[in-house]
Parts: sequence; C-alpha cells; structure tokens
Amino acid sequence: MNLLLALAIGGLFGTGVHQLLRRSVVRSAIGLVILSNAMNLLLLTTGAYDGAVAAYATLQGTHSDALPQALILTAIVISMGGFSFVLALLLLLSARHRSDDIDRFTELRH
Amino acid sequence: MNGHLAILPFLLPLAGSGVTLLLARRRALQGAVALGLLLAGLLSSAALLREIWETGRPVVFQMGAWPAPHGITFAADLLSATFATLAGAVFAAGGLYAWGSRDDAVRAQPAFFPLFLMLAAGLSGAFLSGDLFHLFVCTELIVISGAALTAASGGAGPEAAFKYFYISLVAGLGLLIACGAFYAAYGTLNLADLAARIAARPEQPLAAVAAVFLLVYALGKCAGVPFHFWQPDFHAAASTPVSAMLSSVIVKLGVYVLLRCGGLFLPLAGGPFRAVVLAVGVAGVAVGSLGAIGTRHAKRMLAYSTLAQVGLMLVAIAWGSHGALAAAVVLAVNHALVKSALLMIAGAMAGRAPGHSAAFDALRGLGAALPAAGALFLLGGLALAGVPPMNGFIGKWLLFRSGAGEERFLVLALLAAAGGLSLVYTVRAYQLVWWTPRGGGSGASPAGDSFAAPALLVAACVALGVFAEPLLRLADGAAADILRPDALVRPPPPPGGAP
Amino acid sequence: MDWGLLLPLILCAAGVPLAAALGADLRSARAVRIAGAALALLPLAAVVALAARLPEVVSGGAPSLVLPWMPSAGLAFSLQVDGLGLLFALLVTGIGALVVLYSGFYLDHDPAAPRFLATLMAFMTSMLGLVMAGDLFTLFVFWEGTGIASFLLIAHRRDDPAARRAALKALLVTGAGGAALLAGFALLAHAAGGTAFDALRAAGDGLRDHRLYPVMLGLVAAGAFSKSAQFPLHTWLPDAMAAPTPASAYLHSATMVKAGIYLMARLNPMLGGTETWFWLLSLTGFATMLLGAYRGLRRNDLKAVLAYSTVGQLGVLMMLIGQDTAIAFKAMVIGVLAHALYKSSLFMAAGIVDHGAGTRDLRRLGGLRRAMPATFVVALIAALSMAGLPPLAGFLAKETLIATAVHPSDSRAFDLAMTAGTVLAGALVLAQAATVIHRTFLGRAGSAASRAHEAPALMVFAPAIPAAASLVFALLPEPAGLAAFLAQAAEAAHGATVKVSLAVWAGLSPPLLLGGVAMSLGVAVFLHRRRARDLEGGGAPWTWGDRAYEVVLRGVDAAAAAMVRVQDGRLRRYLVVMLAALGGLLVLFGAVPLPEATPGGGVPPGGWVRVFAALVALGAALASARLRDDLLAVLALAASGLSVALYIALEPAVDVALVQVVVDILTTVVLVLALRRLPRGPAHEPRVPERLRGAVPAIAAGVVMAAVAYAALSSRPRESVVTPFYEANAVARTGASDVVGAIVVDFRGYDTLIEITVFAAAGLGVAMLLGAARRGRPAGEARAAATVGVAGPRTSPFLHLLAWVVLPLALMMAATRILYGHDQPGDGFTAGVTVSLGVALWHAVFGLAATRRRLRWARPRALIGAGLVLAMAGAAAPVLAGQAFFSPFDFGHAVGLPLPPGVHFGTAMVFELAICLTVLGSAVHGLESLGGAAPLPAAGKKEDAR
Repeated sequence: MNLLLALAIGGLFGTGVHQLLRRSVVRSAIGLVILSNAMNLLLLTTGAYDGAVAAYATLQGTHSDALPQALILTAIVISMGGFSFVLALLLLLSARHRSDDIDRFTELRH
Repeated sequence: MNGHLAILPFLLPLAGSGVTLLLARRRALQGAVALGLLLAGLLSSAALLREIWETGRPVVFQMGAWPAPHGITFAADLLSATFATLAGAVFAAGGLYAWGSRDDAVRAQPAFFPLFLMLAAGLSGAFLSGDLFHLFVCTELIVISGAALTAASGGAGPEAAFKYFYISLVAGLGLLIACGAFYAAYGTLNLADLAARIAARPEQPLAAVAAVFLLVYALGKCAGVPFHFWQPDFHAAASTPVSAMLSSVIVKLGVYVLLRCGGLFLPLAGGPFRAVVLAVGVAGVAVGSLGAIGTRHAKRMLAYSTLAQVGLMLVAIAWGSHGALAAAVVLAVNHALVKSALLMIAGAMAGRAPGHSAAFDALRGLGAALPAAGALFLLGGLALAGVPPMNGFIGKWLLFRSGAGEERFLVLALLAAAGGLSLVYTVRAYQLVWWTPRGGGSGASPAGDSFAAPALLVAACVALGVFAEPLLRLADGAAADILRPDALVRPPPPPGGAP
Repeated sequence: MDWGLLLPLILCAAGVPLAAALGADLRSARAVRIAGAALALLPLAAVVALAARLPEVVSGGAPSLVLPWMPSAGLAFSLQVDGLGLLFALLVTGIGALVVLYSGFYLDHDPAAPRFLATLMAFMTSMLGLVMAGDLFTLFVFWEGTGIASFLLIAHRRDDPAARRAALKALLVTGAGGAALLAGFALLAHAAGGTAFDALRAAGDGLRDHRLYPVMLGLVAAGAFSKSAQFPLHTWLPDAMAAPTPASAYLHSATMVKAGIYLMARLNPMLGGTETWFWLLSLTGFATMLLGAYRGLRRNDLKAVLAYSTVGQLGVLMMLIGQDTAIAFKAMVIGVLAHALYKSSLFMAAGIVDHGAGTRDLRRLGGLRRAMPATFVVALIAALSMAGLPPLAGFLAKETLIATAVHPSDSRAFDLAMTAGTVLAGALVLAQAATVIHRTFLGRAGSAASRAHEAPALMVFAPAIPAAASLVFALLPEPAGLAAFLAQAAEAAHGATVKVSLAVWAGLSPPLLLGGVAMSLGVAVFLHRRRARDLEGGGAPWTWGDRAYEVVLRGVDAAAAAMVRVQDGRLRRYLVVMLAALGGLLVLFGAVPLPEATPGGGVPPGGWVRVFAALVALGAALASARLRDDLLAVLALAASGLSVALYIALEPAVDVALVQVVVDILTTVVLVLALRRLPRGPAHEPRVPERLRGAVPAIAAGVVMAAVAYAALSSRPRESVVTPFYEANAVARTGASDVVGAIVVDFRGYDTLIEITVFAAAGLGVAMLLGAARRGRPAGEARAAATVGVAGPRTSPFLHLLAWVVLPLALMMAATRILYGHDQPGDGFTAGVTVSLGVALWHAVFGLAATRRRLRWARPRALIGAGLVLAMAGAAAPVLAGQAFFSPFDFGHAVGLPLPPGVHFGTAMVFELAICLTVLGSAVHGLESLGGAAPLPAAGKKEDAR
C-alpha cells in the first residue's frame, strides 16, 4: 500500500518535471504547480507517525506529526507567491516575443 | 539581552521593508530611511562580530525563547558573523549607490527600497540561521526579492529574472526535499543538533539523499558549474545597485553553506564530497575566466569572473585544511568588496553611455573624461587578479601556501593561469573604456551615478590589503569554527531565558 | 631595527603625490621643466641617504629593518641592504634622478607630463623597494609594483594603439612570470619554513636537495627570465620601446629589466651551484646574448638597436650568474654598473636626437654632429664604453667577461663555446655601437638633419653624467673604495669572498688578446655590415616568443568564444543539464534509498481511500499533461490539486488541507486570468524523439522521488525530536489546542513572518512587472481598460449585488479566523486570501478604477507595509516586557481586558492580523495586475541586455 502511495507521489514528480520541460509557457507553469503539490505530499510522508487523528491537543489517539504540516503550510504559501510571480514574468515575456514558446526567450546569450 | 544582537542584523532591514512601503509616496524620505536602516544593520552586525571576538563565545538567540532544537535557533559564531558583517557593509554601499542613482529602475520604482531591504534581511537571516528550514525560507526571500528587483530593471531584466527564478524554484524544491529527508532521518532541523546526530549515526536511510540535495542547493546558490547557467544573465541584467549585491554577497550564500555544512556532509560522504567540490571549483575557474574574456559586455564580464572567483573558494573548501578554509573566507570577503565596487563602476559608466548600455561597444572611450573612475576600476581589476598590495593578493597567497603545502601542483598552475586570465580581461576592458579614443559614437551623457560608493569599497580593498592582519585573524578563527561545528551543538542558554 | 632604511623609500614615494599635485598648474613648457628639475632633488636626496651607508656596507654590514605585517600569516615587511642591494639601489636612485630631470625637458610640451612623472616616481619607489627587500614576500610586492608602473609608462601615449598593445603584452608576459614567481616563492617558503632571505640562506643545502628543487627553480627562473627579457621571453622588450624615451632609458635598460638579474644573483647562495642551475642560466643567457648582439645590427630604429643590445647584455649577465665562480660575479657587478651607465646615457642621447631631429629612423638621420655637438660627444663616449674600448668602464666589463669565459668551469665544451660566443658577441656589439654613432652623427646629413637643433644644456647634462662616470671610474688609479664596494656586492651574490680590481691595464693576458680579436672582428663586421644579411622570416628562433604570445592569446580568445557559446539562452537545456548533474551526484553518492525486501511500516491512515486520492491526483495531473486545450488542462490541474488536498486531509492534517484548497482555487483563478492574455503561439507539439528525450529526466525524477517517499513511509513510525515538545507545550504555553497552528504562529512563527514577507515580495514583484508594463501606455487608454469589468463587457446588477454581499461575508470570515485562528483550522493567510478573492470579484464586476475608488482601504502597498510593521511591532512588544523577541505574550491578560473565553488578545492574534493584512495586500496587488485588461507591450527592436 505504501508502495502504491510512493509510486503515486513519484509519478506526480515525474509528471511535474515532464511538464516543466515543455516548450509551452502554460504547460511549463502547470508543471511548477504539479511539482509543488508533489512536494507537499512528500513532506507529508516525512511525518514521524501514522496519525489516527489530526494534531489537536483536544483529540485523543495518535496524532499525525504536526511539524511537517507546519512546514507544508509555509512551503505552500511561498510556492503560491512564487508561482504568481513566474506567471507575470511569463506574460510579459510571451507578449514581448509574441509567442508562448519558451525556446524563443533567448535574448540573453553569450 | 545581548542575545538579540544575533538577530538585529536582519530584523532592522526587515522592519525597514515595511516602513519604506508605508513611505512609498515620499521618495526622498524613503531612500534616507532605507539607507539609515542598512547602516544600522551594518553597525549591529559589526557589534555582534566584536562581541564574539571579545568573549570568544558564539552568540546564540532562540527565537521566541523556545529552547533549541524546538524553536528557531540563530547562531552567530565568527564565521556567520563575518559573513553577516560583510553583507551589511556591501548592502550599505549598495544602498548609498541606489540612494543617489538616476536609473529609472531605481528612482521610478516605489517598491525598490522595500525589496532591496528584504534582500538584505533575507541574506543576513540566512547567514545567521542555525536552522535548516529557516535557511530555506530566507533563501526564498532572497530569490524572490532579487528576481523582482531584476525583473523590474527593464531591458533583458524579465528574461534574466525568469530563468533565474525558474531554476531557483527547482533548487528551492531541492532544499525542501533535503529538509524533509533530514527530518525523516534524524527528527530535527536544528543545524547543530543535526550535525551531532549525523556524526553519531551517519548510516541512516535518506541521510545521503538529503546531503546530496543540500549540496546541489549550495552549489546552485554559488553558481557552481554546471548549476551556473542562470548566473551571467541574472547578475548582468539587474540594475546596477542590485547586480552589485547579487554578484558579490548574495552569491556567497552557497559558499557559506558549503563552509558551514561541510561538517554535515563529511560523515555522510567525505571522499566524493571533496572530489565533487574540487571538480566544480576547477570547472568554475575555467568557465568563468574564459567566459569573462569571451563576452562583449562589461557587466557580463564581471558576472563571469564571479564564477571564476567562486571557483577559487570552492577549491579551497575542497582542500579543507585549516589554512585552506581560512583562505576561502579571506577570498570570499575580498571578492565581495571588489566585485561590488567593479560592478558599480561599470554600471555608473553604462549610465553615461548611449542607451544606458554596458556593452563594450557603447562604453568604448567613455572614460576619457573620468580618469578617476578609471583608476578605481584598474585598482579593482588588480585586486581581482590578486596583485599586491591589493586585498586580493592576500587570499591568493594563502591559497598558494596551502596548495604548496599539499603539493597540488596542477591545481596551483590552474589558479596561476586564472590570475593571468583575469588580468587579461580586466586590463583589456580598462584599456578599451579609458584609453581607446571614442569612435564617433555620441549620445554619451556627462552626468551619471556618483562613484562615491565604489570609491569607498575600493578604499576598503586597499585597506584590507595593506592592513590585512585583522581579517587574517578573523579568518583563522572562522576556519577553527568550521572545523569544530560542535561549538554550536550545545548552545549556551538563551539570554532571554526559557520561561 | 634600522628605521633609516625607510628614508630613501619615503623620499621617492613622496614624489608621487607631489608630481600628481603639480598636474593642474603645469601650463607652460617651462613649468614642466622646472617641475622635473625640482622633482629630481628627491631621488638625489635618496642617493645621499644611501651613499651614507657605504662605509657600513663596505665593511661587511647589512643593516635591516623588519616590521610585522601579517604575523598570523608569518609575513613581515622586511628591508635589508647589503653590497648587492646597495649597488642596485644607488643605480636606481642615481640614474632615476637624472631621468626625472631629463623627463621634464623631454615632455615639456606634453599635457600628461605630471602623470608621467608621478608614475615614474611610483616606479622608482617600487624598484628601490625591490632591491632593498629583505624577504621574498616584500620583494614580490614591489616586483609586481614595477610591472604595473611599466604598464602605465609604456602606454603613456594612450591614443597610440601600438603603445596600448605593447603595454598589454609587457604586462601579460611579465605578469605570467610573476604568477610563476609567486608559486615558486610559495614553494620556497614552504620548503624553508620562512620567507626571510636569512632563513633561506640558512636552509640553502636543504633547498638544493629538496625533492621539489627543480620545480622551485623552474618557477623562480621563469619569473626572472620574463622580467629580464631572456630568450624566448624577451619578446615584450622591443615592443616596449613605444614608451617615451626616458622610460625606456630608465625601466627598460637601466633598472627594471635588471630585476630578474638581481633576483637570480640574490638567490644564488640559496639555489645556485647545481648542475641544473648552471645549465639553465648559462644556456639561456648564452642564447639571449647572441640573439641580442645579432638582432641589433640591422635595426633602422635607433631605440630598437639599443633595445636589442640591452637584451644581449642581459643575456651576458644571466650567463655570468650561472657560472657561480668568483670571477664571474666580479664580471657581473662590473657589467651591471658599466651597462647601466652607458646604456642610460645612450638612450637619453637618442631621446635628444628624437626630440631635436623629430625622428629616430636611422635612414633619415646622419651628420648631426654639427647640429648637436654636445650630444654627439656624450653619445660618443657612451658608445665607446658600449663597444668595450679602453679606457672606459665597458672595457673592464668586457675584459672580465672574457676572463670568466676562459676560466675553466664545470663543462669544457661550454667553456669553448662561451669563449667563442663572448668574442663574437663583443664584436657584434662593437659594430652596433659604431653603427649608432656613424648613422646618427657622422656620414652625410640625412633628411632630418636640416631642422635638427641642440637641446638645452641641462637636458644634455643628464646623459653626460653617466657617460663621464663610465670614463672616470676606469681612469682613476685603482679607486679602492669602489673596488671594495663592488667586491662586497659580488660576495653577496657569490656567497664567498670575491677579489675585485679595477685596473685597466692588467698586463698582457689571454682576455686582452681575445679582446683585441673581438675588436678587430667588430671593425670588420662594421665595415661590411651591408653584406651581413639580416635573416628575417618566420622560422627564426627570435620570432618564437612573439609567435607563442600571439598563438596563446588567439587560442585563449578562441576558447573563450567557444565557452560563451555554451550559454545559448535555452532555459530548457539548462534545466536538463542541471537535472542530469543532480542525477549523476545521486548516483555517485549512492544516495537513492533502495526499498527493503520486507516493506516495514503499518497501514497508512485513511487506508485505500488515501491510495485512491493519490492515484486520482496523479491521474488528473497526467490528464492535464495530455489535454490539448489549455483551459481544460488548467481545470484538470485544479482537480489534481483538490485530490492532493483530500490526501492531506486523510493524513489527517485538516489545516493544511484547507490551505491547499484555498491555494488551489487561487492558482486556478490566476492561471485562468493569465490564459486570457497569453498570445496563441504556433502549436509546437514535440516530435517523438524530442518527447523521448523529455521523458528520460521525468522518469528518472519519478523513480528517485518514489524511492525517497517509500523509504519515508515504510520507516514509520519514527522518533521525532521536536514534535513531542510541541504537543506537550501547545496548550500550556501558547494557549492553542491546534498544534500545527501553534507551530506556525508561535514555535516556528518567525518562519511564517518571513514567509509572508516572501508573499509580499511576490505581490510587489508582479505589480512592478505588469504595472511597469502598463505605465508605459497613455493614461486615457489605461483608464478605459480599467473602468469596465475585467472580462470587458458591462456587468449585470445581479453581479453587483453579489459583489456587495460577498465582500462583507469574506471580511467576517476573516475576522473569525483571526479571532479563533488558534483553535480552529485556518489562519491569517486563509483570511487574507478570502478577502482578496472578494476584492478580486469587485475588480471583475466594477473594474479596477471603480474598485480603487470605492474600496479606499484596499491600497495594496499600504496594506503590506502596515502588515509587516504590525508584525514586527507585535513581535517586539515582549522585549519591552523584558522577554525575548517573538515570545508569546497576552496583552489582554496583562492589562486585564474582559474577553470572551477562547479569545486571547495576544501576540498570536496581532500576528494573525498582520499576516492577514500582508497577504491581503499582496494578493490584491497581484490580482489587480494580473487581471488588468491592458495589453502588454511587445518588443520593438531588441533592447540591449543591461
């Protein structure tokens, strides 16, 4: 079962990388989102416990590890901000080059 | 509570970013406040350094007084404090430059100074952080504020920022993976705690993978070949005050992490770690030196030369002896000062060139009217090439000494060659800009950014070359700190006192 | 500690600022001349200061001064003056004084004269320091100094491309030598355990027997040869004649080019006396001697003739040092002295000719003896000395040289060769000297003779002094003092006693006879010089140096061009390379955790539902990759994100799941907004091979990360160092039952502060980018674009109503989140985003301008700033109460506010509010920029990369 989960997470990473390397601006951006989703799942797996209940002091039972969740919360927000910024850059560049082909963004060379 | 001294260097600029945002409408005041806070940050980090030097003990602060390793630890030993002070100094100079800059990318951007301060805060925070995940957060702050500033520099800024940011996002994921894997393996994120536990049980599953991702992150941050492709574009396309920060101190983050965390890698992968860092350093020296000669753009030339200089530091880190590590620290300090000065001079010249271009074609003969700037540039170039009595020479001598001690003749030959090549490109550029008659191309404007900030930095270079003793002793202590990371494992109780 | 040693250095150094300061006031030619004359007093004073040392030194003393410089690196600033050093020091300052005086006249019409004089003084200081240095480190510092000064002096005429090239060449050749020298010194210091010459002398045999002796010697010799223009590194010296003549006279014949000679003589007691030493120096010097003597014969440029004869003389000196016999060092010191005297004199005379006749081309000169008689006499004396005729210093030099040659050394064969070679060289040099005099002053008047005129007396005075000296010190009957002094100098180099006599007539001896042979041979060569064919042409050995320099430089440039071509601007290629490198490192470190045969770990919470969620997430992601239509792809992405949220909820991690949902929505909104404005480029569906290439890194990444995830999952449950602390202290110390919330706001709250700063930076960045893009447009157009709804068409009243309702709701939600954020899932971030979405709806409905008008409080920058300041203030508040920065503090409790249970007015709440404000401002900033309907500018012509 763990194996299936791991494979799914790996699959998400793979898809993310594949999309990231596409030439189309949108697809590449989508790749970034997939990657950050995959990242969240991976961080979740680094939690120490097999929690039965959420990490609430009021709840009884084995809590899920709270630390990775906190890290994810931080990471999500950061990647969200970064993503919107990348999108703005992509808009500007694709407008400047009149194309959504990343391979055309080669003004800077040598 | 002098423990707070360990966090002032980044709290001041951070607070400044908020204040300057509220002052966005009143530009003069905004610039003054920003500069003042940067100077305050410099003073606080200098005071911190002095404190450590005099007490001989690291200054440790537990954020929120939560005891280590549960809260976020900020640990300032000689190494981190030296880098923080360096960052403070260079950023103060950068603030001074930006304050008087006529560049629209600086003047017409109400968010320039807030982002500039965020950049400074992120860097000092990263240097002083004793916590792996906080290192990640600070890195992201550096990345995004730096990218935003560069993107807003007009010209090719957006493209450069885009490439840098894309690559950095991936690098950021790498560090995040490292955090997760280290936590899974050792259940902690506190660097010192981590170091102790790794030393105790290196054979954890996931430990090695974490180490590799951390290594790749560090190499990416210091633009080690082949993780360097973003660097020439990014450092050259940014507006001058920004690129003078990026290519001098920001790029040192990776160097610092390698110095600081070498203790983390070694138990996990001692042999390959050193071999890899050495290979990357040598490659960097080659790529950087040749690239600097090959490019036709002043700021790109200086950006490439950063690759070479960082390569030297990586070589020293790979050698890893006490002397070599001290040499790495000295090289880092000197290069930061020299490179920021040179980039400011190049930028100030470009500001006077037609189309504000830093391409050599636009700069040819532009310096005839500004011989003093030429003298500054030449001094900087000589410092870069390690010609005495400039500060660059001291680091070179230390490197040669430790190399001679370890009989690394091939590498030594390469380093010597690198020195010669840096002489080639800096002197060629100097001759082209300050000696060659201006070939008809008009449109040059006499007025431009002031040379005060670079002059100060070059003066610092000369001073550190002639009076190198304090820096040498500092580097000596820093190297000692590196070689026994346990100095921070059991931090003294935070002055705040855990409630 | 002999502080007096600093005096000469200070005197010379003082000249630099003085000369520079003169700069502004030197309007007239007269002023320049006076300045030169005045400046010359400084080196003159230095001469006196040094001469005062003579008695002490002649009686074998070696005054020294050692100042600690970088003790922790074992480095000091060390001066020491023995016979050898003092001989060179006197030459440097003495000739220096004359050259400075002379320069004032030579450059009297040059506006850049002050710069020249200042640089000249700087060089003098470095050169003096070089010959007075008491250890390797100090010597090297000054060594590089002379190189820089030479670079600046050669290119004194900035606008002359040849001069610029020559300067660069000199700097690079000697600079490369300097690098070798530094490496050699590093090795020496390592082997001898110190840099002081005394330490090195003490370690002498240890050095010679050291395993790395050949390496050290090779590196040091490379440095010395490059500086002293030894074949084949002599290539830079002839080019350097582009410098103004005073510089040529001073640097490139009298002093700087002798630095290498000085260094080898200085190191002879430590490194000399071995086979390697003998052959390396002898052969190099021999070749250089013949090369210079021969090449000088047929130059048509007066200075070129002199330059090549200098090369020859340097070869002679280097060869002599190689011999390591007493008589050789006697010949060396006499040679140094004689050459410095006559060559500086000749160069200055050549400068006068150039100055007076307007050319140095021997083809246009001739018959100047009437026009400039004084110069003629001076040049004649100097030339006779150069030719080695009695009773001049040059004669002594040549005699002792030949005496050394016939003196038996380690190799009989080399003795013969050396004898023949020196005789031949002597003959050729004599022919050169005769040519110089004949073609310049004698013979029929050349085209330039007509306007030639004599120089002012003081200008001729400068070269007259050394010329006279070379006559005097040979004529004086046995100047015992001088002999003893030279003996001291020779001893310092030889390391053993040397007997020096300066008698011109030493009786009939083989050297005298051979000298006669050389003389007559020389006369013959001179008479038939037209027949002596000059072997120009590619393969000739003397062109090797030039060719090598060209080849190396061109090679470097080619390599550089190739190197920058790698930087081809294709981001995707960059990414692939980096991913490949990452994979390589993972393999190299053997870092990928291999799953154990027996999968450990329990059943993950949520069981199959969770697997299902994961698979759905993956499937949706794959679908978004496959779907052709971008909009559909984005929707698939949203679905994937939601199932990720489901997975997270099953961890169970409710807060995170909630935020994931919010972020997923925000992402989708932003993406859709962006889609509207993306240009539809040509559909570039990758061809199959490209797809395969793209698949490789994807699959590799998938495998690695799957392995990592499996290793993490299957090793559960593990020990966590920190989490138990959080669970134990959440309620007690932060008043939050939600542990995650407690971590985010308290335990690791500072992370969150930086995190929202990052988010703020992102918002600011987006606004800067797109705002800047819009700012470029006419205001009216922008307003028009902003008054209608984002989607363009007018919007319905129903939507207006909706907008009016939603925003207050969002605000209320936000308020509750902040009030109860600690006990309920959710925090300031979700609050901020919710409100920002409400505002975004207003944008969509009423348009940007109207929204800005009606919601005055929604001013992004102010909100962000306020949020950050509030956060800092709240975190700093406890410090006032004597607690640590960012520690939890309950204001309500402190001041006793009556608050409903579950509500705490503490740092946590302030922080949540700050987060909300910052996030709100940043999100609104980004949304209104991304949502703006104004088209973005397209690139006209490519702007230059700044």
